[in-house]
Amino acid sequence: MPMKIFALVALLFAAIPASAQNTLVNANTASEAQIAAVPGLAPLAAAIVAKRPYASPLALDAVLAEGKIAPDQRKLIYTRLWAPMNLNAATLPDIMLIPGMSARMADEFREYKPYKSIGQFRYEIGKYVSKAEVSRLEQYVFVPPR
Amino acid sequence: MQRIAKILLWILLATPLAVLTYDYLHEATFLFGEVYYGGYVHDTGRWAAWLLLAALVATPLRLTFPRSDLVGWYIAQRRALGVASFAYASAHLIAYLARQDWARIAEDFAQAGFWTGWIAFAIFAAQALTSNDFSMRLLRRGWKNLHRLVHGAAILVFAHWALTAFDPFLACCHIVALALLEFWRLFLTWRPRPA
Repeated sequence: MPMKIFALVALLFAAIPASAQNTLVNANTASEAQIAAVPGLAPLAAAIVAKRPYASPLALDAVLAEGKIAPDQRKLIYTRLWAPMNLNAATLPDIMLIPGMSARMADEFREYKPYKSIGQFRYEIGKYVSKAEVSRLEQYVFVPPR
Repeated sequence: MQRIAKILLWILLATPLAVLTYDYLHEATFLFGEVYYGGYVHDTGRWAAWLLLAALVATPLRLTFPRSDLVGWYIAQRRALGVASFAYASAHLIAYLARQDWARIAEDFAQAGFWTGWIAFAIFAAQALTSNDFSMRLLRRGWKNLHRLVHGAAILVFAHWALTAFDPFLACCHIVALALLEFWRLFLTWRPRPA
């Protein structure tokens, strides 16, 4: 019986494309339907689309706060929906909105500004955390072309 | 022969710093691959700390093996190791100063992780400036007292590393190594000797 359950779960995961398993929806480019599909965001999807573009994660956070979504729930939402931030313009409160962010890591993010490329971000942050964690964090940021 | 060995040692000590600095300034990938600011600061800091430990191990070695020719040769290289450590520490500090603005530097200075580094650097600067025969003659007893401060400065260096590191584990390993080294030196210096 446990083997059957294991096979079923494996089949389920195999059916989901790899790219979709960890996809972060971009609040600036996603369709209303994509945003509404994020758990807890269906009633706010139209308002989120209406207030675009979001220059920073804090701007998106303000819209969710207006929609009476509690801070803990917002953190959870940011594992699915996000407004990617410019690493060279990001403030400490912006960085701290990234799920799982510690004050120490936020300080490292700021320490290496200005970033020349996303490769530099991978190099600098890769000194402290695993490749998988760098890839996860990378979804939340971008470096504008020089 | 000794002169050639000395020149070779200086080249050996200077090469990593020269290549690292070249890679960092020119965005090159020669020998060390990509070198960005964080990597440059970390690597120069680590080299400075390792060379400092290498210089500090000389005294306990001499006390343990007073008749060894090899240890005698190593003792003669202590000055080169100390000056090289200071050169790496200087590169470490210059990269930091060139990158950060004054407000950030002042903000950092208030933290123990940073002022420990500044004080250690000031001590090393005084020692590097007086690491020549002329200063030895000029300062006489004061020279020895000044250079004894290296032990306190070493503690500050490793405190700086541990307090500023994202993960202080490696710095703590070095602190243990330094503690063992100092204990060994003090034990050999103060142990009762046969009359």
